[in-house]
Amino acid sequence: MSDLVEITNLTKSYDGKRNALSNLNLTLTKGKIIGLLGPNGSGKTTLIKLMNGLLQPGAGSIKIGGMEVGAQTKAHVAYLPDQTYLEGGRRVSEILEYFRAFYEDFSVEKANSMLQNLGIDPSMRMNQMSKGTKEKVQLILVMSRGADLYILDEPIAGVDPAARDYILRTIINNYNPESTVMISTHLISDIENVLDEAIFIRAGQIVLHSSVDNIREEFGKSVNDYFKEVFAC
Amino acid sequence: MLGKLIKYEWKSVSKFCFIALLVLVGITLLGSIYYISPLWNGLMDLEESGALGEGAIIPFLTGMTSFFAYILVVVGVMYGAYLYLLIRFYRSMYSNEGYLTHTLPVTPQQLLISKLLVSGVWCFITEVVACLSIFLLVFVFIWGLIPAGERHWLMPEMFSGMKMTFEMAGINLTSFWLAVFLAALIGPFTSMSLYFCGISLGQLAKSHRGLMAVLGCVGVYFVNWIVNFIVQMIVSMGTMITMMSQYEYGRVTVMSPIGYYVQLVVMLAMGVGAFFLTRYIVSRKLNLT
Repeated sequence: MSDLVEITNLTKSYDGKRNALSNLNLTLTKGKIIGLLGPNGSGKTTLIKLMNGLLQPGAGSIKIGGMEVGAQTKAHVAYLPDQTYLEGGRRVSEILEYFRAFYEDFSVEKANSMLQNLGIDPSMRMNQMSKGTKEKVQLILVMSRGADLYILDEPIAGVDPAARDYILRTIINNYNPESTVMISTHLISDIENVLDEAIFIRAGQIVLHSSVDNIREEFGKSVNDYFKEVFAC
Repeated sequence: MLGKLIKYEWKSVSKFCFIALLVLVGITLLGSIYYISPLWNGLMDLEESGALGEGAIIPFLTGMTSFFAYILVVVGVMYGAYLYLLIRFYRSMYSNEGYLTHTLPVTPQQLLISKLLVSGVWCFITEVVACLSIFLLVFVFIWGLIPAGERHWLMPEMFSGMKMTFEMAGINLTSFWLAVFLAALIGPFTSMSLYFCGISLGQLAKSHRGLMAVLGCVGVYFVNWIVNFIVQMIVSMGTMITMMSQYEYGRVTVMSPIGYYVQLVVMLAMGVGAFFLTRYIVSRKLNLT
């Protein structure tokens, strides 16, 4: 199985005193849905931002498809941040055009179909939408790409259970089976059933990287229960 | 990709800038109409005839108020456009919108070039329109003061007067206009590059990055001012020494345009330096938190 992401000795500090990530090593293979699981402040978002070039590492390296993070890797990575990042005054249809212009793997047809399913009018402006609808639009934009790697930071946080189901269905139904999806969350029970692998992260270090089946067999528990045991306060 | 970036950057900022220009054009037309209107001419006639009484201040007040209101609008539009473009840069690069900007499959250099080109072009257009507006309004104002039969000489007289003034000062008119044109062309791009750099320097701070961006711009403004001051001093001293030596040898004093061009080259060098520093920060020091 070929490696898609190779992270070596990755270290990141925001203040020069405390490391958000410490000598982190991680390898992700193709064709998996992977849960990046950890409590708040464990370094999930820092790792994701580094993989997207939004932060610069203090030490170590990240390679995606054998390349250092840069313009070339960004063409193959679809990223959903944990916050609204689209300009408020823009219409959804304009954003679709923007994505089509910059991402060769973006499908406007797929995006329009998902918008229609959710009853979102493409002529609406982002600042006319509720927080939940904005998040759905952002997810649609990401899942309408044919990327090699999808990185979703807290895609189900802050939405109601019905919307969570829809979001997870959208992720499963729209990703390319040759691709890898990395989902960061602390709402494990909601996504456990869709995961192939789980990564536990604590204080900027990987404490476990294993397949979900292995965790269940080895520890005799669900990922959610094992997570609670590992991260018990 | 650069073409696409320029296209979408242009679309993103042009609405505000276009409205600002429309305001400027509108206010210029209103001012021009006012100065050739029967209202203004009637007021001037009344003053000339003494019907408003000795030392009447109504025409003076009306003229001054409308003139200052106009100046405020011109300055407001120019600085408003500058400010808007800088805020757009900050928001698209370093606020939440940066999550999209920096995950596009483009290089930091392409991003910066697109933003610099679009902002520089808009600033240049705004400056040109503001200059034309001022020229038009002053021209119309003077036009209104001159009796109808004598207006035909206004334009030739203005240009010959300007030429004579420059000749007396020993300045070559062609060189002067070329320097003015180059400064007007280069100025907006170098200014934008410097302020983009100031905003980016502010992002190196660990917290309060919005405030640091403002302080970065203020810092860059002062550095620019100090460098320009030093260059101007050196150029002025050089000009003085040249003039004195010419005087000693009994030659005709002619001011050299080299001083202008030295300042332009320094301005350009600072803009280019600021561009590369900004590129370094975006590519090596970006920390979007």
